[in-house]
Amino acid sequence: MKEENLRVFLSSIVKYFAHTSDPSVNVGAPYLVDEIKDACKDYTGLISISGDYNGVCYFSAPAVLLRHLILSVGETDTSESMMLDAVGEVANTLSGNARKELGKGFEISAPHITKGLPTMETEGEGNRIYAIPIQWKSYKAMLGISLH
Amino acid sequence: MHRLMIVDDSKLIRQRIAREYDADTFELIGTAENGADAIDLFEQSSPDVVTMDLTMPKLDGIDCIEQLISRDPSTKILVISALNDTSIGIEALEKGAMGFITKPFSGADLKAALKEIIDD
Amino acid sequence: MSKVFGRYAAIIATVVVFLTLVLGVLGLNFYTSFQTEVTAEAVNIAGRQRMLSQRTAKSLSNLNYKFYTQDDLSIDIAELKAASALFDRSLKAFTNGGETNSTKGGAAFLEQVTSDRGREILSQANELWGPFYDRLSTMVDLAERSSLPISGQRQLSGLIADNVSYANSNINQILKLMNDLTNYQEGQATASADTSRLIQTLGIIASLVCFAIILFLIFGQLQRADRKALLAQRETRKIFETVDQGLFLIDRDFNMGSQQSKELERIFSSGFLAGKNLHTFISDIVSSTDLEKVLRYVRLLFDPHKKQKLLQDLNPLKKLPIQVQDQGELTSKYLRFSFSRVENNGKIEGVLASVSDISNEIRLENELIEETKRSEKQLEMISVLLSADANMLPEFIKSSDRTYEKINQIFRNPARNSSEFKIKADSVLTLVHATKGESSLLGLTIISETCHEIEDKIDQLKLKNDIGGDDFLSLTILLDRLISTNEQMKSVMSAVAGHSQSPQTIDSGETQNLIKLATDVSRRQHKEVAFSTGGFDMPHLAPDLRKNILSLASQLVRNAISHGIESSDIRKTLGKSEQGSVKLCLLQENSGKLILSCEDDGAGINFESIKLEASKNGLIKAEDIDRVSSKQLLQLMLKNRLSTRTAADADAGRGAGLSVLGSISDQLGARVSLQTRQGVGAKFIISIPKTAPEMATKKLTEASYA
Repeated sequence: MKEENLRVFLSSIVKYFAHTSDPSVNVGAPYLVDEIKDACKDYTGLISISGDYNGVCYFSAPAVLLRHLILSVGETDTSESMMLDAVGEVANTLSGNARKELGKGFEISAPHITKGLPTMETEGEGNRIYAIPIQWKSYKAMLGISLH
Repeated sequence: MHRLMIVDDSKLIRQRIAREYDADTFELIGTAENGADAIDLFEQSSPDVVTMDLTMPKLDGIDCIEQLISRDPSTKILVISALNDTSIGIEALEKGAMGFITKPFSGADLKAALKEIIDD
Repeated sequence: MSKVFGRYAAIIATVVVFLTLVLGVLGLNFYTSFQTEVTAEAVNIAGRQRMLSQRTAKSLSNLNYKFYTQDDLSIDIAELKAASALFDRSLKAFTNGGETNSTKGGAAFLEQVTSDRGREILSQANELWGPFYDRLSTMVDLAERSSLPISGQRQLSGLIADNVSYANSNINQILKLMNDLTNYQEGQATASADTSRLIQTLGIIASLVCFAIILFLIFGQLQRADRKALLAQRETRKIFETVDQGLFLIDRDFNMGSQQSKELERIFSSGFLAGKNLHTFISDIVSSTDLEKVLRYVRLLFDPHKKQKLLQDLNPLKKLPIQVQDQGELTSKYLRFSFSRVENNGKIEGVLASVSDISNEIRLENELIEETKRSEKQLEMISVLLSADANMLPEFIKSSDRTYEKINQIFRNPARNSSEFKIKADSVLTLVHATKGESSLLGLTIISETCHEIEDKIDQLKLKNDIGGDDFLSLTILLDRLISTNEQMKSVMSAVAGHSQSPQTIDSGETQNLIKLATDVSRRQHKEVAFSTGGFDMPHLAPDLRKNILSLASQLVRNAISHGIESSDIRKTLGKSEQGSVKLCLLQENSGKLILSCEDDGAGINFESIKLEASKNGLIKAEDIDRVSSKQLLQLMLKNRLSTRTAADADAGRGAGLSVLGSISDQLGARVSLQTRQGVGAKFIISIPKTAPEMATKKLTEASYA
């Protein structure tokens, strides 16, 4: 795992929130978890990575954060489908940036959006997930990355 | 007897080449440690075979090849470079070099490459 | 050239024959038309002889008349002279061959008549005409004299009368002969015309035959050539269809040739690429810098002064990663392009490019590198393990695992601001420092170096004014590395342990037997079971005890798999992993007590159905059914044949399993306990005392022999 690769994902999340009404985003210290469910919020947008590296990268956020995010762009409809849309858009940004920034060895899938636990099975043993807490306003979201 | 000139900024490599070439076919007329010196030496002693390094101070190998070829298009130049990059090899050939070997090379590699360019 | 001549020799020979024939026929035609002219003239001249004989006779009779009437004779004399002279000349020409006056004016050459019939006519004619002409000539000579004496007059009159009488008796015969001659000549002409017509016809037929042969040969040759071309074409197509490389030709203008192998389409998952320009084709799959490199490279290939071998070394497309849209899915491939010149008579006509999909090779290569890296790491680890104090290692791993967990927890704890992050870093520093000390004590440089790196990072971090979570990224990565190192050490240790066991352990066969038993039972029961076992390598145990323990163990395994573990379908619906787990373990405590345990994650034991079964068998009274404890039930199960399975089979169902367990346990003085939760699993624990009654006697016997 290289720090640059982690930073690509992290900075694309930070950049995403930098374009919202409240650009300040706090990044927590990354820690390790064994499974996605150990670092997961209400809604999750997940992209899988293949090629020279295998793994996943996901953005997981609580409903309140998404609701606020929706309201902050002037939208009033905070139905579930809108929230799925919102988390999907963040994941899209992740995917897009990753495609652009990461080299030839990375193949980035289209985002996979779920409510609750992502149905993606965790990769083999010994591949821990880097869980990076993201705080926007008072809400805590999670960026998860596992590459090997 | 072919007149050989060695161009390389590394003394070690110059000595190495000087030790390895086939003395029955080549006569060493001099060595140069950069492109500019190589041009001077070329004009004084007009060698017909040159071994050429690519990354050198003052005048680099690619430009040096171009200048030598412009002075005498029949000059046979063997590029000996550590740059294992195909595009630089292609460029050297385009400028008129006849052969290309990469460092590190064996004595047999050098002999074969020199033989090949004079057989042409 | 000579080859070409050879191939067409037959055709050329026939053409020559044909031309000769045509020329022959033409020549013959020319000759016969000349010949016809000659014979026609002969016929005409022969016809004229008839007329001349008549004229001679007529002018003779006129002369006779005029002689008596004393008229002028000159006209008739001249007439007679001319007619007889021409007759004579022509007759001589027929007889001996020679010139005479042509019927069309000028001279005509007559060939000597040589046939018998002709000669007969001519000799008869000459016989009659010869003396007649002599006499006529004498008469004409006399008549032409200007003044003729009387005697001469008389002589002339005699000659005239003589000639007239000769003519009267012979001229008809002469006429007839001339008529015969004419007919004869006509016959000759017809015969020769027939012959030449026949020859002409034959010549024309021969030329036609020749022509037909030519056509046949040419047609055959063409057909053969066509067949060959077709065959060659078919072969080429076959080759192009089956060759496992994408093949195509490139010309000087970088256009791709029309013939391309099937594989090319497969590799690029696209249709026909023929006629495309290399530039456009390549630009779709490589970056613009690479594109330029490729084009320059191909240009060099067309330069005859550049050595092909050298150029092969410089091939920029030896390993080209590409992304291809395959049935809507983006797949990445590695391709190898190779280029070679197509030369004809030393001239470079084009470049043959071949493309092969080397994804598999690259994958294998990468796997090999990966594998090498892994084994290098393991080797490194083993050397570390060998250099470290092996006894302390498990303890170190345990404690460092705990430390890493603590560090991870520290990372995880929220930090609101820079100073909180600093505190976080500080506490990590303390933990890491301790691990660093321990690891270096054991000679685990890999770990101590990583710890040192973490310390360095934290030192740098603390120099910063504003610390955020992202500054911890590198620390988390290093922590990940530390955890991985521990995992690797564990796997190496177990591998080393596994290897060192097998040579000395007497009963590894027994472990194998248990594993085999578990696989057999689960296969028979159609269940997916992960079976793990350990501790059966206790060579110091008495053989009988070992045998009993093994019987207990096999009963437990049978039981767990056939009763405990559910079928994978059921497990799936229950939300459990499809594969059940059975763990069998034998431990010897320090006191010498043996603990045999078997744990499964199956259905657990349903005490309710056991109760029902027991009351059915009359083992418990109906009124006691609610009061009976699970401990009591277990005792019942161990002492009686009780089974909840409806059908009996090789593995379970007769209720013997637990009663066997019970009886052996009793024999060994062992205590059986059971932990179970319905739906979660069951764990049997059998503790066997240090001095099992039987074992004690055995030991005694053995000792007395010692």
